[in-house]
Amino acid sequence: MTALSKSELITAEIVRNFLETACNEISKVVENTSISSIFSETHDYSVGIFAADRRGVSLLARAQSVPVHIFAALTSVETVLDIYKGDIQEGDLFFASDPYYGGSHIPDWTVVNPVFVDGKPMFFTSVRGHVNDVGGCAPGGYNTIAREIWQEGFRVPPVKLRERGKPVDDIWNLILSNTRTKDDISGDLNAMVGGCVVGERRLLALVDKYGAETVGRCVDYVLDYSESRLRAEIAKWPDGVYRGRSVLDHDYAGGGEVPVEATVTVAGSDLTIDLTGSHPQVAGFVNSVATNTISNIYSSLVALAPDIPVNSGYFRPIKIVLPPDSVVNCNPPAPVGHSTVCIGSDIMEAVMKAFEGIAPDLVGSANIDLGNVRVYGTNTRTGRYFISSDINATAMSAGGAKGTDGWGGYAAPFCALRLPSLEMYERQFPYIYVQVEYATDTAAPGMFRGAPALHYRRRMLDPVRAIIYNQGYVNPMQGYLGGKPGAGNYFVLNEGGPDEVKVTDACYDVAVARNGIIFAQSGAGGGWGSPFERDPAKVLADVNDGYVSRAAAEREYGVVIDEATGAVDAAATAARRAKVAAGGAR
Amino acid sequence: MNDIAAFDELVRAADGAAAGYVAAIALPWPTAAHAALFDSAGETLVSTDAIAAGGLGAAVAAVRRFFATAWAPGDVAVTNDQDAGAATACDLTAVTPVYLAGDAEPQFWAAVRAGIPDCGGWEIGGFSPQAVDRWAEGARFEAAKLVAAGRTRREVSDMLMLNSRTPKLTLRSARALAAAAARFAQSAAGTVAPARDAKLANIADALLAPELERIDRAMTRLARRAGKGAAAAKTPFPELALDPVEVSVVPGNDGMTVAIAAPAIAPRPVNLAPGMAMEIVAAAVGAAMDLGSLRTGALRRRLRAEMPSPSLVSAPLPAPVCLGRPTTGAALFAATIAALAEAGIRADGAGLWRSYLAAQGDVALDPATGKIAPARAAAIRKREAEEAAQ
Repeated sequence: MTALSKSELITAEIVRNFLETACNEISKVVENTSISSIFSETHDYSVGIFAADRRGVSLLARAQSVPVHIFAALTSVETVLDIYKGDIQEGDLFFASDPYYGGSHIPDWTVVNPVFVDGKPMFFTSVRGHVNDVGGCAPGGYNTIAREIWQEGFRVPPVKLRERGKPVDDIWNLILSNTRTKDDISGDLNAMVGGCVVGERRLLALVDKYGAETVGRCVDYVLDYSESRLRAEIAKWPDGVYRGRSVLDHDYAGGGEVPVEATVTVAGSDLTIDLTGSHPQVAGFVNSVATNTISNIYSSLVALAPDIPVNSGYFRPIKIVLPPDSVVNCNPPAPVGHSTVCIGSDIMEAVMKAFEGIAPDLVGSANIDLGNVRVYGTNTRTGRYFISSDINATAMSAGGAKGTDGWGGYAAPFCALRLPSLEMYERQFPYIYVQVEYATDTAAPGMFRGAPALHYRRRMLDPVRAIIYNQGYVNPMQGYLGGKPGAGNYFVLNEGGPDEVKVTDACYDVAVARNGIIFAQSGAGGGWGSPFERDPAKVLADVNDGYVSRAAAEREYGVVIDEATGAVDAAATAARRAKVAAGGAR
Repeated sequence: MNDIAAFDELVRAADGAAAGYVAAIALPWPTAAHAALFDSAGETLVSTDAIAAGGLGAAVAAVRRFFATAWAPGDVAVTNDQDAGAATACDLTAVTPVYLAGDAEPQFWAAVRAGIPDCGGWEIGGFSPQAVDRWAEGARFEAAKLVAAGRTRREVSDMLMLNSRTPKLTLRSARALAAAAARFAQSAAGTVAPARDAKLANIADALLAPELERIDRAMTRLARRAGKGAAAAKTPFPELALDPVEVSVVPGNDGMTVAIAAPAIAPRPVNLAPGMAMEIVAAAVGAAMDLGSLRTGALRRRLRAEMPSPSLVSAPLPAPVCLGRPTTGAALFAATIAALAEAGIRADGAGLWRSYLAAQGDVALDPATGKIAPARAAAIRKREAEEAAQ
């Protein structure tokens, strides 16, 4: 542990908070200056401040954003430093997106901005964001029938967007001209750059105030502190070997279910996470590069010890083993477009399931079994081509955790993703929402239940085309400690029309006519704990709210409600629960 | 040096650039390359063939527009933009400025084009019948400097490689193109330098004059003999019923007007990118009138093409176009030949079309699938494996 004086300890805490505040300010800049709704509304980007020293690249702080982005950005910064070793100049600005060059999937763009102090890059501000289109074969970047990465989009290795303060125009143009919505994404990329520049100013002010040496020592301390805190936490966990499993419904290529196996070994203050046994690399676009897999593992872990400052020190006690040639550690040219979430969140879920036996009070739904529909075409109202990612239709609602029911927002590892304003979507895209509501009897039963599934219905105002990619219909998000799994996802295209089709896995480039309805059930996380231990008063409240039917209250929770009074029949409930506890039929 | 001698030297330099590329890349299948030299006004001074010069000129114009004044000796830009003369994303053109000794600004521009083995998209080889827009056909390199002041840029090289199924072969092709363009530029500068004391703007006129006279004589004969003609042909593509492309030709003493009527942009990649229709019309007219050996931009000066845009025959971004030449291009070529026949010039349209396609580099398209023929795809992959093993 870096030794600091008492006053320096205070300074270190100030520095740590300053770094996190700077990250949040960068995040605000991106949010407020970007164009596409996937940034400004959904918040599908992340922010981090990094440093490089003899121990390698370290994440120092991050904004409250999407962890899976920013942990993967570690590798992007490493790759940039490796490629440009000896050629990083003041005023340079870097960009990378290729999954096999330190990225995760092509739509995740990373901007890396070196911050020079005394002629050397002391920090790197970075924004990693999911842009709405990256060229390639499918509008929107999710090619459900891709069998190789060249069918997924334009690949960009680490490049300089700016050299010694001067924009590298042809590189900017190469990147942007390989998107279908260049004007919007140009604004988004500039927002990312702007955020990095604002962060640079703040960091220079920090160094100006405390001096580079003090800041450097404080940073070392902050990293060491997180390491020591996590080690202390791990040391409390029982030594042993624990296993978890999660299964993806399909690989989009007829290859069947795709399991992820996680073996977690706790030994003293060390943690080893081994995904050996996971499915071999598959033909469809759910393969994950190592960077993405590691990022998802980290995302799961930070949800387990949320009060420890998240930085690279946090990850030092963790050893990760990935099987080669597997779906969690794939080789080029395997397609990877869907991997950030599927298989990514299955990686998280498998790890989280392993932790059931380690830290039962901390586990909870770590998954979003992504179902999504990309709708694209020409918006006759504006005359412009559009691509809409309906993040609303994603299975975003969280599962239960000890002490709380699942909430109507993303699970903890995706906490910063936001549900966009429906009105804003209606303003930007040629459709209107005709229904958005929780569906009865879809919440995963548990002592702390999951959130109910949401039902969305959208009416198209223009003829459009759609790509759907869906997981979690067969293997919905799992419950924990006896909690039941959540409801699955599915879609119905052209609902009520002669060409109505229910989509539980995928469809590619399907026409939806003007006034056609797209329905989505967006599933939710599993429950925590036995539903037969749920407070009957809470079950009654759910019945009164329409989340749970009376029949389900009795069947799933053993809570009997008196039809005449509408109150819980305590005696009948106790009898029913006792019968079930004794092994009787539910 | 007189104009004829200079012209002959430039012709040799252009042919040498194209041949040099073909020799350098040494592919085990028929390979075509085209080269042309342009003056600062964009006029074609000399080319390996007059037909390809149009597309090369569009490529030069596009990269000059993009980089404006940001050029230096030793720069070589590349483009595969179908709106700037490429037929598919695999058509890569290298463009370099030609500086005469002592000049700060380039006076001429050299360009060399050839097909690279792959540039991403749905299918290897650049033909993707599934493509519904331009991005689905392959990576887009609108304008990028592969070589800056004589040094190859890693960023652009890496992007070419990453976005190709044949990274080694693609990079080697791109570098060979850049080298061919640079050699061509150097050679051209040496040839033209003695004329620098003359008014440079007159060089184009001097070089084009003999070919313009030849074309004018042929056009005048045709105008006297018959007059106009019209014909139509349909785009051949499975499960796609498009209205025919209609062509009418009106020769006159000052050249020929070619009016084209065509349906709207098709949802499949059978559209012709802007400029490609003019190339095909020029190919048909040039071949039918036995003007195929032209080496300047003279024929283009004497052809006036009128067509709806955007349409099937002039489909800018984002329209898919990768199969445009062998489908709608074939229809346009056939209709033009038939219209010329009505106007009094009879020619073997099918044979001329085959010759034209061969001059573009035996594309090895499988008409049944709209993809590159399996044997060619296998040959490309084998060659890439050999390249990678070296």
